[in-house]
Amino acid sequence: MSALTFTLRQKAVQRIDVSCLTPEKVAGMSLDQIRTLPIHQGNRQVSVGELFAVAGGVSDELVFSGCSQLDHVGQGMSTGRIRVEGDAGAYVGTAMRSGEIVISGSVGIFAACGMRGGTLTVGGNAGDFLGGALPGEMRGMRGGLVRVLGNAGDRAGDRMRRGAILIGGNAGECCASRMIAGTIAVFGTIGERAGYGMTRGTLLCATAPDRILPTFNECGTFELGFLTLLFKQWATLGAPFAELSGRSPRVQRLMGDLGAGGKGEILVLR
Amino acid sequence: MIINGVSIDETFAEAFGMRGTRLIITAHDLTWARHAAVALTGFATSVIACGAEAGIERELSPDETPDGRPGVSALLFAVSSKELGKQLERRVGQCVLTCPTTAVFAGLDAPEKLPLGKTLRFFGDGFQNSKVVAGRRYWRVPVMDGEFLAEETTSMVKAVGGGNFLVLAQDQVSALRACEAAIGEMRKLPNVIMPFPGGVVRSGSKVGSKYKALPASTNDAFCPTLRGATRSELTSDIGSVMEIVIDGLTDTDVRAAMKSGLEAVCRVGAAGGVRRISAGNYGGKLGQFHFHLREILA
Repeated sequence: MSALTFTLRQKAVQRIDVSCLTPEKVAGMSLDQIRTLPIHQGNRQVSVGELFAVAGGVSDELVFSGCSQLDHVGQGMSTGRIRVEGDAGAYVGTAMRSGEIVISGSVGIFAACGMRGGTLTVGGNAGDFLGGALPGEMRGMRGGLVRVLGNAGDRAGDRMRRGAILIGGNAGECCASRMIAGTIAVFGTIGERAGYGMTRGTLLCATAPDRILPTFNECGTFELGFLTLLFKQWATLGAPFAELSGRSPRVQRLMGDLGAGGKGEILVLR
Repeated sequence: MIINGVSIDETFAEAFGMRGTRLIITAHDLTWARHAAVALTGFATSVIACGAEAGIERELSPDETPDGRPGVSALLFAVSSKELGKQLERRVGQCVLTCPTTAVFAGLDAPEKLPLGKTLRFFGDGFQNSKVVAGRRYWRVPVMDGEFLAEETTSMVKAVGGGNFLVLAQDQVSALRACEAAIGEMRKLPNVIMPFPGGVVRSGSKVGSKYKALPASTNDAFCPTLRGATRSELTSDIGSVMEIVIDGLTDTDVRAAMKSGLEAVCRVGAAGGVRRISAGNYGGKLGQFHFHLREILA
């Protein structure tokens, strides 16, 4: 069955909250029913049909024509697949539990915040607080896999608790800040103050950060067996993530942030 | 039934329900994986006094192990889930955690779980870390050679212990050679171990003893030196008896191993000094699995 497609009728001038359009929320609805669903644009409530041309068959795959004004794509989704052709806005995949979201372009701030499961793939760049905690929440991402082929903004993995964030490009400042657990891998360069306030968890870097916080201590260079398992898991994720498969798990290990317990680690591939 | 001059008794081996698990131990090279596995499965010949019956199932190439290093798979069996859990914790804690470069992983996937790294992690004294990879949790315990990696749990299954057969030969050497031939074939099969030294046991036992403290004692009916002093099962042409005990993950596995071993003994035949094959049982009242020799060889 073909995917259910949502094409914007005209260029969005205000932000659109598409959290009402997830595979489980439209399951069992006819196209007409979906068109009459209420949706918020800016501070107004309109119907889905006013904003989008809805077509295709009702299935567990939704496709949006991309627009950086589309917020909350796949929020809280627990099944199925959402594909965005182009960019998406803020809060993509927040509190997502299962299923798959694929964004061919870039996403805004707070993508994958509070995510609990499933996979989010971003073909372009991601904004600040990728996989982080929403303001007021004590924990960020709690499970699942986020894969960003481009760059990530500042504070990626802020308060992250579980799961993995793979960044194919560069990461901004304060990557893994206040991280509680989980794994972040950065295949490009990494910004200032990586691991700030990190209590536990792993930040894996392909290249050594230019400067390491003084609250991180050098432990030496080791072959860590768990990395082989991670690399094997990433072997199916395409370049550059799959390129680590079969590679020696030899890394330089730095432990910190000593200002926050000091049991986190920054691992630099050697 | 007589095969190649070997008389097959019309009897059966009586086996019992047990709990079993498989562990995969990897290391920097096969030598160290084997060191750990040998220690893990040491002093595990009989549940009567060892708490567990264990053995090395086979060696694994790097492409067969989770972390891509050479490894060994070992099977452990015990009489209850509780005892198996206790034995697992003790044996892995003392023999694998301690062995340089090793890591340990679950070798079975079943609903019932036993703690593995879940309890061993506390050796890390708060410095331990866990990682969830592909839905499975692994514990990283800092140790003096680097990190000990252990999967959080291993699976436990209902298993079968105590499959057996007796090789009755004209003399000790003939019995030994026939048993060696049988073990050589049986070790090629998956899901089974022969827990006694070299896979062979010479001290088959009967239930009870004249001494109140002993639950089992020598099987005098099969002791050749007592032929004239007890109600012997041995004719005058039998000079030595040895037994092979088999534990397996299923009764099908035990049956397949018995068949393979019995056929190997029969190939040695009368020309090799083998006279009879028999089996140990308790009248069929204690064990839930009965392996009839003639049915297996039919």
